Amino acid sequence: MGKLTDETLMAFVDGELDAAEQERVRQALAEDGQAVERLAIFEATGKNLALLYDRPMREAVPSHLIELVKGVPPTIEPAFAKREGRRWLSWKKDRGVSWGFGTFAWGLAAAGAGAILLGVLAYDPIWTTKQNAPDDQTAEATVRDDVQLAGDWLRKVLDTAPSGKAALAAASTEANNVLPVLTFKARDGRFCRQYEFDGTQGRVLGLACRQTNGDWQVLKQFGVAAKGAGAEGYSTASGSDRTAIDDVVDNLIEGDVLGSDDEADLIESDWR
Amino acid sequence: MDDEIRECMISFLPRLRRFAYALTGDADAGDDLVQDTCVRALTRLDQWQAGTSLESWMFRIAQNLWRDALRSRRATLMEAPGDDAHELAGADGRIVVDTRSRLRAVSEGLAELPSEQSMVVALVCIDGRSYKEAADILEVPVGTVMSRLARARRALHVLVGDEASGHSPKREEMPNGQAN
Repeated sequence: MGKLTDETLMAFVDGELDAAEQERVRQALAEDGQAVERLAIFEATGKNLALLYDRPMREAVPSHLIELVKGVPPTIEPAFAKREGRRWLSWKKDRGVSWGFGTFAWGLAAAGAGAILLGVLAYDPIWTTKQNAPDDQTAEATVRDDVQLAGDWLRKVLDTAPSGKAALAAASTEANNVLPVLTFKARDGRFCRQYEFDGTQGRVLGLACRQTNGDWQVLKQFGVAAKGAGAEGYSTASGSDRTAIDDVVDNLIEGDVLGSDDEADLIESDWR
Repeated sequence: MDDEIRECMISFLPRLRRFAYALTGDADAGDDLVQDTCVRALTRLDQWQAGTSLESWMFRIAQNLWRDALRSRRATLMEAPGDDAHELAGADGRIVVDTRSRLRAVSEGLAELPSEQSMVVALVCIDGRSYKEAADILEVPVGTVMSRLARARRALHVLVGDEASGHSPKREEMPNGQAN
């Protein structure tokens, strides 16, 4: 065996070599005093360092971290889910009745003591354009005479931006950092996209499906957290927020979420 | 599904805290880093690819946040580490003192290293990851992990000296520069 490299000696100390390699190193070490000295460096700075930092392994995880991961306090979460559910149902029932997509903003005071619910905020201004669906007899059954359609900036992002990449840092006065999250084909044949953006009152989650005329019908959209509530200014979505979108996706989706190649093809072909 | 993910995340917290403690050299700063990591993981859960390791993904977030933090607020997070070392090592006063001084020396030594090197030490030597796991988390080849790790440990040995190893480092014999 040739000269023992530092990497080999280190891997030997760290138990990263297989038995045959270990044996070769042992034999080489027997004849190489200089390598033994180098070996000592890696022994002194090896996994024994873990002992110095083992305090987190011996003590309980601070409750504020656990609460943070668990999300919004359970006494409050159902109220949100219920309210969201009602609104969603009433929209489906009361078609033709005009109402704006309410934005529920959850404030998570992440500083220090953990997640504290600040409260429920008021309705956002309508940021979607509201208009009647075209008078088109061939339109799919799900098109209603009163639907929420994506406004220009959102339509542009949904039409052109790949999932997972923030687009249009300042999409409009009402939205920043728009992020298409995923794309899928719905059972009714439409392509739908989940998205997020920073609205005026915090992060907003949404889901829209593309209609045959090129409009994006917004099926669901709501705010999840007060802007700047997070320790570094990013906002926090509770479990029920994600679940609310996931449930809609699950109900609509046919097959799997599209891969990035398929999605790129769709964008390229203008969603046809 | 969502609750399962949260439960998983909670089960990762002890190791994540140790990792953050090693990176920051300070238990409180480490917990702040863990908190930021959790917030980011929860808000970007859609970016985690199911089927890949959720834990590795969170460690990756932690090291990214730490790297960003080093760039923007090095001064504030690099306060003298090791003040909580008195809780280490039990009742034997001498051991406590030894451990404390060694922890301080190692933390200061790690802080001297380029972040790409201290991260690989934290992952392999402190969190006990294999080279392959560290490579996955850092998104670099295994060979890069090995060369960084060897370089980091040679440097750490010089920086920390007696406190780390109980042996005198042979400074005049230290290989400096590239591994062969």
